Amino acid sequence: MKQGKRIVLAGVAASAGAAAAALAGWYFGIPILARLGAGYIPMAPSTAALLLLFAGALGATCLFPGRKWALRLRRAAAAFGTLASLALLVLSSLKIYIEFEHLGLPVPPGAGDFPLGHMSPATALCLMLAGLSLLAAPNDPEQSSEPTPWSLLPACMLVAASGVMALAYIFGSPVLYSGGHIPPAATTVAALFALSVAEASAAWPRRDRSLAPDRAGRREAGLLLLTFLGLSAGILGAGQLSYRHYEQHSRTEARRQLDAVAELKVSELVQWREERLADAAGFFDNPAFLALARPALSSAPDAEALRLLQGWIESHQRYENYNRIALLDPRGIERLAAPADATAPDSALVHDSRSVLAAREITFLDFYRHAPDGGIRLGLVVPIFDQPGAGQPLGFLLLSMDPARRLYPSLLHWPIPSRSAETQLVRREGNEALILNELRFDKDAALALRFSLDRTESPAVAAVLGQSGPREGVDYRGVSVAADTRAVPGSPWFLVTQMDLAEVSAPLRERLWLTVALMAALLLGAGGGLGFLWRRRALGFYRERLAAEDTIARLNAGLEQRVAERTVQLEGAVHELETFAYSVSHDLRAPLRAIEGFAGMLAQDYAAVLDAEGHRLLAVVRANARRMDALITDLLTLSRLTRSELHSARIDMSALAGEVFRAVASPQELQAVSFAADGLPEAWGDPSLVRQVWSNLFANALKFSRPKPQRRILVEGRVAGAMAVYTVSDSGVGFDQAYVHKLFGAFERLHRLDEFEGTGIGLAIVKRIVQRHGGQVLARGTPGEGAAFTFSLPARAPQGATGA
Amino acid sequence: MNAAPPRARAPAATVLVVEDNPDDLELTLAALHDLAGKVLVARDGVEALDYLFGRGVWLAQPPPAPDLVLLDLKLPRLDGMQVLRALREDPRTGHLRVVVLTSSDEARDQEGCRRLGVTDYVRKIVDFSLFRSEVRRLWPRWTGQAPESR
Repeated sequence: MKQGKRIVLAGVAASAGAAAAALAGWYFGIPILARLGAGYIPMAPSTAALLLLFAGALGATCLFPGRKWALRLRRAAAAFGTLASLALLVLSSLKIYIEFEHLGLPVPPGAGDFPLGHMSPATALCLMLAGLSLLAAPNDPEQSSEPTPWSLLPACMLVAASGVMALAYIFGSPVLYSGGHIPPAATTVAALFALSVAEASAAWPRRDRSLAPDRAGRREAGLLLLTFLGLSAGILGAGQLSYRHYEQHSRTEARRQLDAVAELKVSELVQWREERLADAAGFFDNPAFLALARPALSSAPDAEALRLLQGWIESHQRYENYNRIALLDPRGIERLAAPADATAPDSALVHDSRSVLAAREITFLDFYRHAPDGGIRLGLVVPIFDQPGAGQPLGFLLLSMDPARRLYPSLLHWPIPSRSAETQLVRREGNEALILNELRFDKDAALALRFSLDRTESPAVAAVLGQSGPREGVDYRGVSVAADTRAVPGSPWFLVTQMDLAEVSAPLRERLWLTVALMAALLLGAGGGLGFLWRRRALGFYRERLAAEDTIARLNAGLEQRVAERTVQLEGAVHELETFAYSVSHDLRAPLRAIEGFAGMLAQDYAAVLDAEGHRLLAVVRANARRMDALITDLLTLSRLTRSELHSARIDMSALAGEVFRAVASPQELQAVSFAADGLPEAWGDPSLVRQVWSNLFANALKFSRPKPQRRILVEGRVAGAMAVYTVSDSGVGFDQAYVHKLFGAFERLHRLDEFEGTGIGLAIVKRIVQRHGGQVLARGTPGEGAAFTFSLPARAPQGATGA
Repeated sequence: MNAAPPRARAPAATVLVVEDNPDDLELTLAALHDLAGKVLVARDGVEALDYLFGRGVWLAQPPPAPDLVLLDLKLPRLDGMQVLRALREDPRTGHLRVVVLTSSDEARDQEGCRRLGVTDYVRKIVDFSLFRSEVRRLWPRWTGQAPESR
């Protein structure tokens, strides 16, 4: 199978397999088949169906190229799939999720932020690209040497898109997971990548196979590919490492920030409390204050003292930013207050405050709700004794503060810009952690938001349980946060500084894209560089190949032209030869005939005038004329053998040999010579020419056995493979094997003319005939013993020929 | 066109010999020596056809048709095969006995003549005595004195 086709089919199989697994997972209730792991979005049934449709259509196109039904299937599937993807893209972007996408499969309701079993807009966009590529795909990918840009372009875009999404998964930061839209499933991304590779491979132009690189070229390509894979692995690994490092660094930074802010806030709080206590101490052991308080709190208050005291605490309230300062007697009756309004004192608070008298020291009243106006207050109770810090209790001073004035703003303030960072102040109340301040995302949280101590994932709970240091958890909003907790010394408070993990990882996301972009650029660069290298090598290779082919083509063209020229020349020569032979046949004989004829007439008509020598000389003239005639006849026969066509047929060789022998041998020889030619195999040849072969061989055998008393001619035959082999042996005078090479030449003779007559052409004719049939001749002789001539002819008709 | 004087006894057969080579003509005449009655000679195809169709010099007084035409193939102007075809295509001469005497043993010549309905095809072989005996053997057939056989 060709490589391109293999890639297409592998991609098709992978994407169809993933889709089928997802559908099976939905059907049989094995969700792990549709998602890669817990915590990931599963592949929607609609996505799986469209993937199966595309993969099936592309597979059919590749396996049954050029078939009409495959073509129709592909076009219909691509058109339908593209439109369906477009519709789902619009719906999914508008967050409209239709039930039909489940295809009737049992899909459980989503537990997370998104409904399950619906297509992500990213997936829909990718499927649209896949559909467009399929629509324009070549009818027969293996035969298209031209690129199909309208198929290749969307396929390449899809390769890039699914590759980026896959990278995002690999780097643990999948696309859209924190956005408002459904993210593409991991299995979907993998299946899309496989499908895109298949489509790109199908749309890629096929190179002419005859120009395919040889083994060395393939090895080099493999080496380059390996280098590229190694480089890619290195780049990916380095990217991953750098990203993880940065991630670590970024988390440490966040932790450090949270820790520093917590430290700052705690010190601020501690200082604030100390200031308040010092402020209270300014009343507690101040003899001047006591000097005024004593008469003011007596059963008969001194008006002047009251007036002075009123002025003191009023100015103190105003400058120290207290909400209210009130002077109460031990029974809790308010003697004076600043501001001097008619607000009724909080009786519960007063009740609580009286217990402070027993403790004889300045006491912090922690965050409480002020009953009359429902506001939140902090309080300081300063007991007043008749002696500074000792003696009978005279009453107490109640200083109340509104935390919204200074405390909350200072807690809310974050020293560097952040969109989610905040500080929580918590105290333990029974088995609950109570939020004391207003929060960034919940202004009414103070004294209202409480968590059971079971909720250990909450940083506030961890804080009140005495755990200090950095941690991650889920805060009051249910949002994952990074936090730092610690206790505020000298108080019932615990401090939590926290920041959304999303904010912590925000620079990471930026960094991730930077990393991915950098890696993509590096990969492209590496691929491009290696591709350039390969191309240069390949170009050199093709150039050599083309040059070689060009040379061959030129040589071939030259050869063809030469063959054509030679053929014309040869045809001319043959025609000339024919004309020549025809002329010879007619004109060369006429003078011979005149010589012979008139010499004969001379011998006859002037017999009386000539003596015996005259007659002998005339006989020599006539004999030579006749011999010349015989030579011409044989020469013409020989030349005719070159010119005439073969009219082959099946030949009964035993019958033919016997018939020819009887024609060649004289009546006396038929009596005197023992002849045997039985059981010869049949041959395939031109009967008239084969007759000539027998005739010449028998004539030779008879001629050269004439001087021997025992005259014998034996013809034997056998079949050897495709050839029938015949041997004519005689008991004649034989010949010296040393001269066998001269035997079959024209006009070559091994005997003197006065021993044996003949033109010396007979065996040349035999050889020419046998060779024209595709056979061979050979001769074996022993002087005085005899000679054997062997020749071969085709035993049967060649394939496809009919025996006539 | 010369009419050769009749030799010795004069049998009935009148023969037209068409031959351009004087040596060959002499040999042929020698072979016919005591066979033919009156021998007429044409030196090429045109002369032969003029005589046989009564054209040209024979226009004024058309001569009687010969009993036998001995025709060479290789002739100036109009060759033997063309003469034979012309004779066979004309009803006046279609029946004439025409014997081709030629030195050619080419298959195409033999075949061509047979197709044109030649009476006989005889090779002028070099051995003159053999040729003469062949002519003598076939003479009765050519002159209608023996049944024709093919």
